[in-house]
Amino acid sequence: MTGSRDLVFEIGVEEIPSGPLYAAISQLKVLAAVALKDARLEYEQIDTFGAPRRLVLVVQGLSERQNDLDMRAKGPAVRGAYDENGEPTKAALGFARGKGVDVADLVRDTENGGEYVYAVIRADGLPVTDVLPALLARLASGIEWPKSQRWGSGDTRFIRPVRWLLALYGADVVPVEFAGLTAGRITFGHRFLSPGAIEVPSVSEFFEALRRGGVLVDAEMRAQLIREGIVAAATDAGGTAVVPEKVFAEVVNLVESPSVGVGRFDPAFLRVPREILETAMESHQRYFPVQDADGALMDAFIVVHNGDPDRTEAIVRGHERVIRARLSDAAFFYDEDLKAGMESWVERLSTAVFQEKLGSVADKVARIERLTEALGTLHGAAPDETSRAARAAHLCKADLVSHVVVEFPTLQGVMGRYYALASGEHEAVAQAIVEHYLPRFAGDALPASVAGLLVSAADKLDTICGIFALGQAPTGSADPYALRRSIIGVLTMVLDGGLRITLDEAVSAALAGYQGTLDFDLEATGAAVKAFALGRLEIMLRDRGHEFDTVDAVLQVAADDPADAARRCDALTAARATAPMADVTTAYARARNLGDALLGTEYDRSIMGAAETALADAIERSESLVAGAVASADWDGALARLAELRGPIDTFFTDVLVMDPDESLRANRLRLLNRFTALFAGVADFSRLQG
Amino acid sequence: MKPKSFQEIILTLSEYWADQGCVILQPYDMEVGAGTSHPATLLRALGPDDWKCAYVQPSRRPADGRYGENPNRLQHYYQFQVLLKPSPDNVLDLYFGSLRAIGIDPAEHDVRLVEDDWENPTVGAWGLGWEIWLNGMECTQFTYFQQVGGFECRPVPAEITYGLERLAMYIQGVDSVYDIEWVEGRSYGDVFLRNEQQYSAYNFEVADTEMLRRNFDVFEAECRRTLDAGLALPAYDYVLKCSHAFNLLDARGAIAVTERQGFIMRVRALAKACCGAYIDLVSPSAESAPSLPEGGAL
Repeated sequence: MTGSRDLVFEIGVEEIPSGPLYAAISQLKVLAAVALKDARLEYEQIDTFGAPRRLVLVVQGLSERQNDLDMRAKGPAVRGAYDENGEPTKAALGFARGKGVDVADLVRDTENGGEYVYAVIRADGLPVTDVLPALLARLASGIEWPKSQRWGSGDTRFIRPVRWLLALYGADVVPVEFAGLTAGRITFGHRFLSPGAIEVPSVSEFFEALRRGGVLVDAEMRAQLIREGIVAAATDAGGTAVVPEKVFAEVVNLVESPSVGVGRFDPAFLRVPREILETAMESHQRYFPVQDADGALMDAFIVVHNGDPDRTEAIVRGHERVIRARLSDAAFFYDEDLKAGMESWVERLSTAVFQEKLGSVADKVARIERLTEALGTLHGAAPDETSRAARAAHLCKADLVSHVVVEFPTLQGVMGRYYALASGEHEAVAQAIVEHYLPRFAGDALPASVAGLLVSAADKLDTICGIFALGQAPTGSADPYALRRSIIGVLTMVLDGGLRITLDEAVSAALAGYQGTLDFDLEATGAAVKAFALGRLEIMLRDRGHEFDTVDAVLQVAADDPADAARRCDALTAARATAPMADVTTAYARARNLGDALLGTEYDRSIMGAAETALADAIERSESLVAGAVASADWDGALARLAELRGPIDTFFTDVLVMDPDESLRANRLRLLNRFTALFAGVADFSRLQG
Repeated sequence: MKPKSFQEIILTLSEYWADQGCVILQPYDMEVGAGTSHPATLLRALGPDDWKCAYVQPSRRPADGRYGENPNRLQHYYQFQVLLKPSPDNVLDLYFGSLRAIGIDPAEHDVRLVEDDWENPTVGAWGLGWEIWLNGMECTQFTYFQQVGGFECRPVPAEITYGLERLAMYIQGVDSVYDIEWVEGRSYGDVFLRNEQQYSAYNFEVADTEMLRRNFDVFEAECRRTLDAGLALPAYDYVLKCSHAFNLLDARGAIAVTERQGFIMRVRALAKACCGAYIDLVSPSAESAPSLPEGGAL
């Protein structure tokens, strides 16, 4: 049993961006575990940490020696390894060379009845200090970055320039060489609060040395500290902080020594829409807004800074001056926007490109307006709903050229709503403008208004159909226009949002918008878009817990109306869980296998026996009931009626020899079975169901 | 201590970087959109030789004009530009030293380096670096150039671009760019407000778009002709002229959607060709190539 010590390896880097830093902290942990295992090094625990200027690996209880290597590698079968004279073949020679052993040292053994040659590989474990320098250097170069760079005259690539390396095994330096540097026991603290080198005597003093140097290297501890600081600061300001997770996570990795302060701005800015103020604070400055008990924004902001905690007061004054400039800029843009009319923006959309070959945004808006009206008719919307939707479609992209949206693109739609209200548009029009971007991602809210649903669907279908008409349908992972997300959005609105459209008509109406301006095959494009939509619908329905064959059976008969297809799936999935339905489904399969469509469904009652007559009675009784249920889209009812046939059909199959030698009897029975299977056709294609 | 005036900030930065061994250049005498476009940065970033320079560059962004009515936006402003090739190991320390020189001690403020991946597709250039935030205000862009004109930068230069107006506003504690004290008794507004009003009107309303279109074509042709004559540096001037003509056309709203990409591609093609010609000019193999004929003498 050899002894063990702790290891610390620190890569000192110029400020690492936040996102990649999180990823590198996790990567390093995984890479280290693999590398130590491959190197036959035992350890108790691996931890990784990171702060803007450093990535840190700590291995506790790292064994002082590698385990000895003693393994057998399986080679070719003996009969392939030696020729008739007993000489090793090329296969054996190659195998031995590959394993680094002499061919004469290969041994034979049997495995699963076959005889094979084996290479026995033994090596004594080396001291860990012999192994670590190369191992740690490989770890450093093995980290994958989304983007990496060179610096100075070197060729190393890293996320940002590497400026120092520290590697200690207990109290001993591990001289790792990486990026033209050799590791020592020197680290650096906070860039401004602790200038100069810090010497670290041993692993156990590393974290304390960093702490004294003004660095909290554990992101979770920084997060904790910042979270507490934000709560305290908000309380201080008399409200609660608005803390989007994404901004918070970024801020944690923007500071090595977090301090939290609260600043104020002129309450006169609160007349500007809240979203503008929030975006200005969060996206540009990474400040956290504060709101009062009623949820109204307050004239305060919270800043997490990287400076001297004792200077928080003065630093906050500095931030207050900066926010004043940002907010007055934003207010200036907003006021300028209010002076302009939305109509003038609609005109300017002709200078904004939608897609190179599909024309300007103004062209798109004209198409969306017409399509919105067509979808309104399809949906059965009230005339005033449709006209408001069309008005919203006309204005839905106008804010793209407003000052505020040019400055803060994430406010598209949100600003459109404000500007529409300010220019006296109906509330429903304004609401539809902001809603037409919904849903933006899976699980996002859907438009709540009919007008919002119509404009959203029109916008998305227009993009999908235009790109398909160009022949640029998504392939594999390439979906540059996010068409999958768009079609899923449309389908989700149909399935869950109450939008009533059918695919054929909606797609034709959308493609009609491109006729005359774009040269494409109308029929083929329509079919391609529909197939694309059905492909996504199939996946969505399966994701909702329906078996693939249930979805398949339903889409065979109800592909044009996704909402109807979903309801049929719900009913069929529920029904298939019951015994009668399972039996009837089995009987259906049998009946269909026997049936001969050419014989038709008109049977002759006069030559029927009791079981046949009973089945015929049951079918005829069911026919009008099933038809009625189908007509009213009562799929549970329709399936219940079908399930009631279990008794008669089972008795029929038990008592009656279908393939009677008498051809007229046989044909009559097959007609009866045809009549039986025909009953199912209006609900789903039961032949697609398995078992 | 009284905060530094605008011209003192410029003088101090010049002196500071001169002490670091930089060649202190004067602004390039043509319209450019940013200090990066100065050939001392854009072209000198290429090639194997060491190069350190610093200069002020008036920068023109015609579409950013606001008729002098917005306190933070200008169509003509100043950048202080530093290029250090190869990037020294202590380049960030040098930069923070320059802030101390103009009266900003980073230890007294909240200074953060926020990821900023710089890319300029028009000249086929990209690099990684940061925006440097001073109490939440972006005051400098710092970039390690990786490629220019589609060519790898070896060694890698560090580019430091200070937004002079922003820094001055911060240092002097004023809320409008026009209130910056240029020198005692003279404000930035005294010097430039009229320019902003006049140039905004010109850029947005008056500039002759037909002339600009003709000029663009003429400059492009001249650039090509000059490149054919093997003269990378004068050819590059015409890239700058094309760029400015394009920016003016853009500000006038005279670039149709369908044309836009075409214009950008044309400028990029010229810029790349100039960068390629410049590399041929300065790479060691090329230097030895045009040797004197056998037996020749001066």
